[in-house]
Parts: sequence; C-alpha cells; structure tokens
Amino acid sequence: MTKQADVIQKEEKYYVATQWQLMRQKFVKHKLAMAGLVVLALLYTLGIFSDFFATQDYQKRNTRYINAPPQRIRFIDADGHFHLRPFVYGLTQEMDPETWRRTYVEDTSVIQPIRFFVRTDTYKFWGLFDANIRFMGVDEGPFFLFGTDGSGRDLFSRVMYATRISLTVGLVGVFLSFVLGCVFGGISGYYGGKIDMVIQRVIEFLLSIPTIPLWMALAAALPKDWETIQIYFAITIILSMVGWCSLARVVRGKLLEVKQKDFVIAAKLAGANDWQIITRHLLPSFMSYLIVSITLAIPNMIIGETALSFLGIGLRPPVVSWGVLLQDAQNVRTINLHPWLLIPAVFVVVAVLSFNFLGDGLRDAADPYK
Amino acid sequence: MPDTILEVKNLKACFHLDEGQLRAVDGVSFAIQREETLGVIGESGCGKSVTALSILRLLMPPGKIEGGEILYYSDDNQVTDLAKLHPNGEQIRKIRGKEIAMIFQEPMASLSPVHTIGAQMMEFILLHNPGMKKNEAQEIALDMLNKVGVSNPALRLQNYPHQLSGGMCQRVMIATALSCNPRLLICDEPTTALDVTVQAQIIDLMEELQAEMGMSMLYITHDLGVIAEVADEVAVMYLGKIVEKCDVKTIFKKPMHPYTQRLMQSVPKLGSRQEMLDTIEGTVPIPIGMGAQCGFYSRCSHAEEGSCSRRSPALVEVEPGHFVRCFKYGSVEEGYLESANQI
Amino acid sequence: MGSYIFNRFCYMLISIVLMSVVAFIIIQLPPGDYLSSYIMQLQASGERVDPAQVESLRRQYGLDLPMYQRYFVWVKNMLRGDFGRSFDWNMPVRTLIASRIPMTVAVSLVTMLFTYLVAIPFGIYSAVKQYSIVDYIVTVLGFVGLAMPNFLLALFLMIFFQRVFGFSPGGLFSPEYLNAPWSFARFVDMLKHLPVPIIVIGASGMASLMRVMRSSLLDEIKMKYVTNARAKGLKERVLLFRYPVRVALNPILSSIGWMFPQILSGATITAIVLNLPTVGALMYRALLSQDMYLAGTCVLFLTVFTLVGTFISDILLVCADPRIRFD
Ligand SMILES: Nc1ncnc2c1ncn2[C@@H]1O[C@H](COP(=O)(O)OP(=O)(O)OP(=O)(O)O)[C@@H](O)[C@H]1O
Ligand SMILES: [Mg+2]
Repeated sequence: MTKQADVIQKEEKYYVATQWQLMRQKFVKHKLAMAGLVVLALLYTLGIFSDFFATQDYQKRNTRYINAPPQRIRFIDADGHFHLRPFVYGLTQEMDPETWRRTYVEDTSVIQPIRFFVRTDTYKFWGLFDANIRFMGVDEGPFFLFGTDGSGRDLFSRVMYATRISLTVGLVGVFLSFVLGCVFGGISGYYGGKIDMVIQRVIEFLLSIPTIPLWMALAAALPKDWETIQIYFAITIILSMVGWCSLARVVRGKLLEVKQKDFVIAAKLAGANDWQIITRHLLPSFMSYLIVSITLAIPNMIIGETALSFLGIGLRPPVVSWGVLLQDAQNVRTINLHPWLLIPAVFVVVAVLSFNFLGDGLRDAADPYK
Repeated sequence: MPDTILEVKNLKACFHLDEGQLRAVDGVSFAIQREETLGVIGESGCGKSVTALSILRLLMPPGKIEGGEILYYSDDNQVTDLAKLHPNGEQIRKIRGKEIAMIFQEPMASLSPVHTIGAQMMEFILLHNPGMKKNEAQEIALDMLNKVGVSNPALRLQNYPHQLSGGMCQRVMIATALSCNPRLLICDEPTTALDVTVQAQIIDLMEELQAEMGMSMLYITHDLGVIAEVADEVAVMYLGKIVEKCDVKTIFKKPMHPYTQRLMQSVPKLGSRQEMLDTIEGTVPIPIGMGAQCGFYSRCSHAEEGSCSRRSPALVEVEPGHFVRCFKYGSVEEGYLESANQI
Repeated sequence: MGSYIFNRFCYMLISIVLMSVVAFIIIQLPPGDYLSSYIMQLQASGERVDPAQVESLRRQYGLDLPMYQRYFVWVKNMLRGDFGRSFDWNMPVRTLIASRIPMTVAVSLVTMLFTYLVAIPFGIYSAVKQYSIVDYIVTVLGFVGLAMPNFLLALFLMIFFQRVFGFSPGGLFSPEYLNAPWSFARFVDMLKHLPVPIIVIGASGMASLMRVMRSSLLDEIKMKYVTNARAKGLKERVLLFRYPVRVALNPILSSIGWMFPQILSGATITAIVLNLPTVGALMYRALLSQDMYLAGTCVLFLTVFTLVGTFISDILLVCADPRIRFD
C-alpha cells in the first residue's frame, strides 16, 4: 500500500505542480539567473544606501590627493605579519621635478586599520535626515578604495552615488515604458480595428528609427538652464519614448491570444466590464511575460543613459551617474595614466549582464512546459 | 522463405528526465509478417509512437533505446539488428525510406514549411535512386500523387504545405512514403488529425495500396474501428507494455485482458442500445519510478491486493496465438521464466 | 506580391514624411533661430552684418513665417537640394553631409555583412553542438556583446590595440592619408583601421543574432518535419542545412529590419568615440554646438537610410518565406 501511495505521490508531483511552482523550480535551477539576481540585489542595496556605503561626501575635493590611485586593502603588512582587521597604508605624494606629474607611493610606516560602522562627519541620508555613521572608514588619512579623480574626489563614494542614479534611471524609465506600453498595447489589443492599426504603425515607425541619434538630438535640445532633477526626468522620458514600443507589442500579442480564451468570454457573459476584464483576468494571465520584457528592457535604459551621459549630453554634473563618471575616461591617454577611472565601466557591465541573465532565467521559467 | 519481415524482441526505451527515468517502452515484443498488417492500439501516452520511432532509430535524446533487438529481414534473407546500428550511420539510412517508410501523426507539421511539395518529394526519390534524372523523379512524384488521389498533381507540386488541407497533406505524405516502394510501412496514427470522411478515404486508400504493392504495415492508432478494418493481428499496449496480442477476430470476439475488455466496452456498438458508454476510470499513470506491479493495477476492477500490486505479470500464451499479460489467466511473474530457465 | 511591395513602399514614404517632421522639430527645439546664431557668429568674428543679406536669408528660410509654413519652406528647400547652412562650419549642410555619406554607408553595410557572416555560422554551430566548448564560448561572448555598451568596447579595444599593436585605431585613416587622394596605400590603410569599428559596431547585433539563430535552430531541430526528413534516410548534415537551418534563417532575415536601426545607432556613438568621418560623428559635433540645421539633417539622413534599408529587407523576406501571405 505504501508503494502505491509513493507512486501516486510521484505522479502528483509531475501532474499537479502549479504553474507558479513549476516556474520557480525552473528559475531556481537556472544558475546564471540566480547569480544575476544576487548581484542585482547587492547593487541595489549599494544604490539605496549609497550615502551609508560611501566613505565620504562624493563632492568633497581632496586637493592634496589629485588623481591618486586606488589603495589596496591588505591583511599582511610589509613585515609579513598577518592582521585580522584589514588595513590600508598611508599615501605620500611625490612630484616629479621634470614632468611636474604627481605620483603616489604607499607609506608602509602608516597602517590605517579599516573600521566598520564608523562615526564620521554628519551627512544627510537620502537628503532627508542627518546621519553620521558610514559603513567603512579609517581613523585618519586618505582612504580611496577606487582612487580619486582630477579634482581629488573619492571615486568610491562617487561610484556609490552613481549606482543610485544609474539604477533608478533604469527603473523609472522602465516604469514609464511599462505604463505607456500597457496603455497603448492594451488599447490596441483589446479594441483592435482602426485604433489597433494606427498604434501598430506608430510603433513600427518608432522601432525603425535608430535610437541613439534620436536620443542624442532630443537630449542635446534640453535647455541648458534646467535643474538637475528636471534633466533627470527629461532623460528618462526620452529613454522610455522608444522603450514602450516593444512592451506594447508584448501586451498586444498576449491580449489577442488570451482574448479568445474561454475564461474571458465567460467573464464577459457574466457582465464584467472592460476594465475589470483587463485588470482581473487578462493582466494576471500574462504577468510573467511582462516581467520578462521589463527585466530585459531595464539594461537598455541603463546603457542608453550611460551612453548619453558619457557623451556629455545626458545627465550633467553635479549629478553623478556611471556615464557621468566615465566622461573622465574619454581618451586613451587619460586611461593609460589613470586606469582606475574605468572602474565605473565594470559596474555598468556587471549590472547589464545581471539583468540579462535574470531576464533569460525568467523567460525560461515563464515557459515551464517547454 | 521466412515469412517474418520485422521482429522486435524485448524492446526497452527510456526518457531520462529531471523527474527520473520514464520507461516509455518496457519490454515490447512482436513480429510483423510479410504482406500483413500488425495493428497497435492503446491510449494516448502508452508508448506507441516511441516504439515506432525506435524501429527506425529516430528516438532523440533524452530518449534512448535501453535494450532489446529489432531484427529486420531483408529481401535476400539477411538479418540486421537495427537496435545495434549507429543511429545516423550509413546502414540505417539505407533502410530508412527505402525499405521501411514511416508516416507521422501530424501531416502538416511533417512537411517543411519553406519547400514546395515537389521539392520535398523529389528530394527523397532522388536520394534513393541515385543517378535518376530530375524529370524522371518528377514523373514518379506525379504518378504517386495521382495514385493517392490528389487532384491536379502538377499544380500541387508547386504548392507549399500551408496551401494544402490536412487531408491533402496526409495524401502527399503517403505518396512520398510509397514513392520508393518500401517493404514495410509504419503508420503512426495517420488519420487522427483528419475529419471522419477523409479518415475513411485515407484508410481505404492505404489498404488498396498495400494490396497493390505487397507491403507489410505496422499500423498505430487508438481507434478500434480502424484496427478492425486494417489489421490482421493486433497488439494492445498499456503503459509501455503489450498486454494482449492475438489476431484481429479474436480480439473483438474474446478480449481477455481487463484493459482490452474495458476498451471494447468504451466503444459504441451499432444496434445495441446503451444508455451510457463505459469509460475507464482514472488516467494512465506516468511510468516514472514505478515499482514491480501490474501497470493496470490502479484502474483494474479485477485487481487483487497482493499479487497484482507487488508483482508484474508476464505475457503468456493463454490460448494458441493469444497472448495475455494478466494473473487472472494464470500468468506468472515477469522474469520468472528466465530465471527458471537458468537454474 | 506587387500590391504588397506597393503598400510597403507607401508606408515607407509616410514614415519618411513623419521623420522629416521630427527632424524639423529637432531643428526648432533650441531657443533662438538659425539666423540669430548666424548674425551672432558674424559679429563675433568682427564682420559687418549686412541688413539686406539678413533679410534675404530670412526670406529664403521663411523665418518670419509661422511654424507650419516654415516646415513647408524647409521641405521645399530640401527637395531643391538646399539643406540649410551650418554656421559652425560656415558651409552648406549638403556639402558637409555629402562628403560623409559614402563612408557612413560603407561602414554600416560592411558591418552588417560581417555581423551576419559571423553570427550565422556560429549560431548554427552552437545549436548543433549544444553544450560544447564552442557553444559556451559563443554564449559567453554573446552575453558580453550584449552587456558591453559600444562606447566602452571602443575604449577597451583602443587601449588594447595601442598596448599590443602600438597604433591607435581611432579614425579611419592614419594622419598621413587623411586628406590624401584615393590610392592603394590609402585603401590598405583604411582596411587596417576598419576592424575595430566593425567589431565595436557589430558586437551587440552579432550577439543577439547568434542567440536568435541558436535558439530558433534549436526549436526547429525538434520539429516533426525534421524527423520526417530523417525517416526518409537523409544524411544528418544535408538534412540540417536543407531543412531546419533554412527555416531558422527566416527570423534572421527578418532581423535585418531591426539590425539597420541598431547598427546605425551603434555606428553613431562608435563614430564619436573612434572619431570616424561619418554622419554620426558630424551630428554629435553639430549637437554640441547647437548647429541645428546640420544636426537635424543628419538625423533625417540616418533615419531615412534606415527606413530604406528596412524596406529592402522586408521585400527580401517576402521573397524568402512563402508563409507570409500578402493581405
Ligand atoms: N520527447 C519526450 N520527452 C519526454 N517524454 C516523452 C517524449 N516523448 C514521449 N514521451 C513520453 O513517453 C511516453 C509515451 O509516449 P508516446 O508518444 O509513445 O505515446 P503515444 O502512445 O504515441 O500517444 P499518442 O496517442 O498521444 O500519440 C509518454 O508518457 C510520454 O510522456
Ligand atoms: Mg503518438
């Protein structure tokens, strides 16, 4: 009898697993997607609490440390002693008397242990409340994990803030695309006919335009005297002007597919109105596809923003994003001299990759029966 | 001259899935005689298609033939074990299409959507007739299309599959399969996707052509009516195993296995006034991680706790030429005979 | 078929008209009009501003007319071949753009060709030999190609080339050939400079094409018609190329439609970073200096080029795939 129960249980597992369970099982098995999810969670944590993770004010100019290279975190000192608490060496600056170029050497006589949850100068958390605890810090002396830029600003802290901006541009942009895509895709797919025709033609038109030139032209036309926050939103709007098209197509396609299905017809017969049908019945039934499209749309937004800012026609200082930071790394000569200025690029690539992995995993999971 | 053309012995085929090993075909044995038709019948999912694919070595991963023999007796009395051949090797390719042809379940999906009917038919004709000219091949194709009753064949050759109806597509498939004069034709539910009138036409057509060309057939279906019409011998499959095997008259007159009996009851009979058709309760279990038990145990009304739930019966000859796999008819446990022989 | 092409052609014309409106809006977006910039520039260079000349220019470009009439004047001028003047270069826009069109078209088309030539075989290979080393490499490279913005790739390759080969791959010509007339040596020099831009521009398109090819071939291989063809005794290789690959090429062919915008998009930003003599780089400079007639015309050219390319690829697709019905 137990054997029989066993068999039945096995069968049940095969048959009865709900769609969501199957999706989750399939997603969890997708290693890259899981890795992407973890990395993104990490990046967003850094972005949300960037004030806390930054080691100093991202605008502070350390005039004594201009173009300083990154300091290495060490456990073993010059004498070969192991320190449980990681530390950095001090930095001393030397000026080449001929080229007038600054170079920095590690001062092995100064050991600065890295302390966690240190008290520092007061800063405004999220620009709202005062706070004075930061994640890491040293008691005194320089602490530049990613080095500094040409004005002596700490690149690590700048990257932390840039993470916040760059990642949210993606989110806000996708949110806008999502709203536009749902509205137009929904109208198009639900009502069909002439409206559908017109919307489809518009989408085809927008999709056939090369995006970068258009974005560039629009971004360059933004008034020079706008506030940074205005620019921020203007850029996200520009980015989502094209992004909504593919989402609208997904929505429309799925709607057309689902519209014929029995449960929608049943709901219609039961007297539900259009809005109820769309929100209660149609949306849930293709939520998974939407999530996939959204996940794959975010990295495009991030790349778009980075590219525009890199060219100097996107976000403008004092707002920092990965692209704004990369402006400093525009020519090969600077990069050869100060390679650490490319560190923000690593963040861009990692973030975009993670989104792609995640999207891929979600897409596979969304089709659990395949 | 031996009368057998194909002999399958203890064929086993598995799918290696994440959920475990799915035994789709579990020790199937049968033989097909020259110019005769073996009908295989069974519910959806019982392993009919997998059996058919295995014969031509068309099973693709995760599916795999795990054991058994597939003996093919060619014209010159040579015996080849198809199960031992390389799945894409020269030898099996010589047999595919030329000696053993196959017709699949869904005619529409079985034709390439981007090639014309003519191109696809001629490709195969030329393949098995090296040195033939293009226009000769076209002649043959036209001839075959005519034979299977396709109207306006010259035009059809220029058509793409999507321009044809399902029935038309199946006729094209039959024409293609027969264009190389195969000795054995495997039909995997060739009429399931078609409507009833077309179905009847196609079945008549195939019987005619079989008589004319002297082929043997392995005819797979889940339709008892079709079996009655085409088959000489019948094998009933359930859960990857043959549960009953005998000639076509006996199976309708005196079905013995409980499953076959239920199957017969689930078909409406002309003239009899049944209030309701019998159905077989429950569904076919998925053959993953099944222990030793009769596969039909969970749905059988004659099942006995103990014997049926712990041991799986072997296929034994209950009457001359009538094989049944059920303890009810004094079947012994599977593997018993082999182990007894060894002692 | 004929009516389909005709419809498609009309649709392209409508798109071009729409695009001209967008370009016109872009030209009009920045505050101040072309003429006041021009006058300012003349004054800045100390030249005397002749009121009569200003008046004639004003009339020529219809600057005193309302917006929508100005649009028609602009279109009329364009149809006559007058695209306005670039005050930044102090040259007719037409001359500026015309000198860069051949290079723009050449770079885009060569990239396109290269993209398909690389993506298709690798996509096929990695589908057929799923989970082989090549498949993994293709997958990884595909992801990198997708995740790496063009301008970063351009930067990295520039550094790489400089460190390893000791020459800077910026531009399309070495300085000594920059303004030289065409000669064999100049051609060779250009060939030497071409790989980097082509890789940079093509990378992301190549990545997505490989993925499309791979996944659609993987789908096709499982199709019934493949089993059927195999059951007829066809050799694996012949079978592969004649049936599933042939079918899987269709989505690839239809991808030309979105490849054109993508490649021109990538070419624009790459041209800026690598300093290529193409329309994209010209547009960037024009945008930075708010040289709007030039910028707008560049946008218009790039999009029209794309629209025409897409049109041609659609026609090709219809010829290749019999399943598309013309309705
Ligand atoms: N590619 C595959 N992967 C995994 N399992 C498979 C595959 N093909 C068949 N199976 C399993 O093998 C078993 C037998 O399948 P088969 O196709 O032979 O059934 P069938 O008798 O032909 O049914 P039908 O009448 O529906 O055609 C089923 O349980 C099925 O789930
Ligand atoms: Mg089947």
